[in-house]
Amino acid sequence: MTQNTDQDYIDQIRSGNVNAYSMLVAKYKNMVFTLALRIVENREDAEEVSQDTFIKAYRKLDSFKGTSKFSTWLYRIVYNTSLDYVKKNKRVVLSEHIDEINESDIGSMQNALTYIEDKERKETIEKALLKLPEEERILLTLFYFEELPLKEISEIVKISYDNVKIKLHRSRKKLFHILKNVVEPIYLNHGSRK
Amino acid sequence: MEAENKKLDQFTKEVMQDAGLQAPSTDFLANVMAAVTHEKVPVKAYKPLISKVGWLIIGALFLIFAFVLTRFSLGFSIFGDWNLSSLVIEKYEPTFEIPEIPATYAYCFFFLLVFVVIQVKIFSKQLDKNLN
Repeated sequence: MTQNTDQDYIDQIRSGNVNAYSMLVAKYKNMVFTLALRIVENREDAEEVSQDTFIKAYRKLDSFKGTSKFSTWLYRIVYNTSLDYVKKNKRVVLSEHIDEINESDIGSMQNALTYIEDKERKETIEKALLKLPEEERILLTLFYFEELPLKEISEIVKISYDNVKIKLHRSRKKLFHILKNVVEPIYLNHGSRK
Repeated sequence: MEAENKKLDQFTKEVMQDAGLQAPSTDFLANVMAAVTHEKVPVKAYKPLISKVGWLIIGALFLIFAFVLTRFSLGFSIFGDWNLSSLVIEKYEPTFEIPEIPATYAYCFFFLLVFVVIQVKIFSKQLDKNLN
């Protein structure tokens, strides 16, 4: 059996089968929700923003030209909707200072993270991510989790290809420093308990 | 430096994969579908004003005209004795001296105006259709 592509579902919706939209919502709800959550920082608000995103996408489906992937187009909508939400709430994120990193630092951090329980590790990373500016959280998520090419990411966040590269490099370093500050005390605490 | 960057890249990838995705509430899908079903906006396919075939025809015509006009001389003007610049000057009897308008310039300007008028008509019709 051949698998339906996003375009197949879009064609079905356009020919009047509204239920086909549920396939797209089911496919992308987690990614959309995660992106929203990493910007608005609150589950209830992220749920509202995600819902708005899917409704907006449905309304705008007639203007979806298919020149980019449906996912790229959808992520751009959730990104803009989330930023609008943040703007309304006027939250300011303080920037993290960046120091140089050496190889042994990275090695010891990898080691420290393995000592933390799965659930706690996930929470720690999530908290560290929230200390980055919104744009950088999204860049990291799209590049490292969704593994999108830089060109598609630049279309979503509306910054140049080179700028995405520079910002990704900067955000990698920032995330490392934040994690180092958060993980080291936990690691030391775990070590002293053993 | 290169090795550090690679290691940091690998580390970030592992961290981001570890963070994973978050899931919305269980009734999220049902809520979205309930909202979408109440939407009255018709979902129609995007159709450009000029289709791909249309652009190909326009391009081909342009190339043919460019080739014919640069390669062959007809020896006569397709506009015959029709001189737009003299028509304008005679009809409005200007009281001041108007410099001679080159024929090519006058024709280009005239056809540009015609195109603008036609396009305004087409676009306003299209806009009306979309608004309705």
